[in-house]
Amino acid sequence: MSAGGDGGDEQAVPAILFDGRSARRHEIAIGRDAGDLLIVHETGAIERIALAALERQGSGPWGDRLVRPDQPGWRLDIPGGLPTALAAALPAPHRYGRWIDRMGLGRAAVAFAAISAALVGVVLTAPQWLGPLVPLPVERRIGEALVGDLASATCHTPAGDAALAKLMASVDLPGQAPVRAQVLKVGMINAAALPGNRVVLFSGLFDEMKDPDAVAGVVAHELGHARKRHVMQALLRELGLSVVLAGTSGAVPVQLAKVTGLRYSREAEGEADAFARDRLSAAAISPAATGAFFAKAAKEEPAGPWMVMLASHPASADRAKAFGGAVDRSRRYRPALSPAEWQALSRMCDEDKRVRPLLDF
Amino acid sequence: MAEDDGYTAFEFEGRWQDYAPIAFTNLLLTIVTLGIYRFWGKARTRRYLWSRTRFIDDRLEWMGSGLELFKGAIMALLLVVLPLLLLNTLAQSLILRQQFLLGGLVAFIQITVVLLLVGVAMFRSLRYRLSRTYWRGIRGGSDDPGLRYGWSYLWKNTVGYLALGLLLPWAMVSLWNERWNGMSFGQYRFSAGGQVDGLMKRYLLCYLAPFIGFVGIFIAIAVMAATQAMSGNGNPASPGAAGIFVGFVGILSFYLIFGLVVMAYYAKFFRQMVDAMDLGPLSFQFDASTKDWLKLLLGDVGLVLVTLGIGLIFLDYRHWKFLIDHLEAFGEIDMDAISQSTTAEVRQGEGLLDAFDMGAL
Repeated sequence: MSAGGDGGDEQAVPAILFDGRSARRHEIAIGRDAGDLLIVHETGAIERIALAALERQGSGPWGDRLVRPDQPGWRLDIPGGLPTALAAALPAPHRYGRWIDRMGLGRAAVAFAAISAALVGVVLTAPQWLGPLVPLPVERRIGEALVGDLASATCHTPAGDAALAKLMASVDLPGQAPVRAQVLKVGMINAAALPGNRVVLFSGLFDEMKDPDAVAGVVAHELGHARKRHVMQALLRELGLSVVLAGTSGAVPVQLAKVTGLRYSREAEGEADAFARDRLSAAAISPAATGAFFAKAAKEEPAGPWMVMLASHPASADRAKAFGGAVDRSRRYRPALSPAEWQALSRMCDEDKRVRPLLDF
Repeated sequence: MAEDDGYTAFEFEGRWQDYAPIAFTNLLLTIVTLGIYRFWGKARTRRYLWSRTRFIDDRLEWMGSGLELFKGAIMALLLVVLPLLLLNTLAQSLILRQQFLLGGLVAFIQITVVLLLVGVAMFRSLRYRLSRTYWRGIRGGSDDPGLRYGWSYLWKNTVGYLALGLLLPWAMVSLWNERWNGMSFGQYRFSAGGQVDGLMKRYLLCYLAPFIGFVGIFIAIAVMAATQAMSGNGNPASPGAAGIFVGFVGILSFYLIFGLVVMAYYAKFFRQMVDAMDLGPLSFQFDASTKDWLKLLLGDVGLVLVTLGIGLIFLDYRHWKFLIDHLEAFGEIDMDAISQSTTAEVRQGEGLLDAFDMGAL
């Protein structure tokens, strides 16, 4: 590296230049003149480049390195290191990224952690206050888009429909927008609240439950989810989490929530249970049968088809105790449905010959 | 370029001790930013790995930025993943409404689009990586946006599978060639002329392994049953336990053997493809045997297990080192005659590939 020669700065430093036009390696010398970098080429020609047009990159076995953002491929390596005067005139190379370099790694990490924690907090709590703000018609439309009206799998008989309507009316809050109830021909023991003030009972439920009071308890529980706007909350939570978690895995979860598989929080389940006990009491229906239903479920946990319904619910034994304890011995209860009505409701899906069973997934 | 005395055209000069600070700070920042930093982390990792990779007499340079990768990921999310998610929801809701034909059609369209886009993503990510890789100030790239490759990917894979999977090696070879023939570095175009000849024997081994495995398991069960019958009425519990044990060992060894056979095929495939590649006056060679790949994989697994998962952050390093250690190039090259690539500069990263959660190689 015999660069130096005449015509340059007083302390010329040897360097290697690739100009980004060809792969040729140029052995040159550099110096500084005020706001310019001076390059003494092999031919002796001198080139001036404004320091502002240069960017310093990380050092390594090649020494120090300068590049020109406006000229990709242009690269200047200074094996002996940048002269201190030049190094002082150029901004330090990027390391972690612009923001983090400016703040320092430690402070940036703390700041990001705080922002992230706040964000996760908002996403986790937002559904609770955002859910009730979503207008019901919007929620109804989301429900329509996700599951449709399920008409072909809904069982109908005049007497069964009347019994279902009576059951709903007796445990629902008075004077509210109506909740639509459907009995679906599905062999599972399950019930669910759907977006848009809808409650569905699966016909398998009637094979297992022999008491209209227990069905009233289950209906009241799902009504609680609808009336307390838990469905929208669960939808929002599912959506919010998938968006936040998209950053960590790279792949966005392919499956949006399966609507009947929506998970409510334990608090929401407790709220729906309390709602159910309240409404049963207002309708003078005994909570004993519902309690017995949960007691039976508790025995069969964790195996059995109960899990479908009970997975995210409070432990069945606790619920059995809560419903059993709500029985007021001094009170006179009336049956939720007359034997004829119960017969009509529980056999509705067997009697309706037109209904098609819903596909099991 | 490669002469006898241990000289190699490609050499990796990195040390994991030097890479560790990068890996750990990347991990920290990725966690506190809920994953968003991983784009910048990836750029830092590549900057290190490339800068410690010597080809002939100069180190590679990674000029891509985290911001580019981030933008690419956002674009892929908005333009590809979101529409696909909506399509998926549409298909599901149609099937729930018993519209099987329409739902099936939407699902079919969705699968077609995904396959097409995976192909496009593979092509574009290779194009992006070449266009951001500099050597002696010269970069690579492609002027092909990759849509044609996407179609090829779709139909060649479909044909490969439809022919009972027997044409998959042909699909892999022909897609490799098509992908690399679309790429260039400097003014030189890559030429890839890989052949299927010589791959079929190993592929048939993979192909037959499941059948052989099933026959083996069947024989094992038969032998078990026979010995049990002969030993008469022994303890009824112990034969069951022994059966489970044999089944477990059988399944485990089947997976091990199957994995080994697939690896043997892939090792040969990779060697054969790289060996058939040229770039102007240069030709390439890859010499990793099945044993080398096995050692890499076992090393990965061991590292991750021993470090309780932390070792994951060193896998990129290990894979790059493996690639460079086994890569070789031959030929005389006139540096002055290599001129800058005229291909379009790609400014958005490999977000599409990222969105499908696929690896680099």
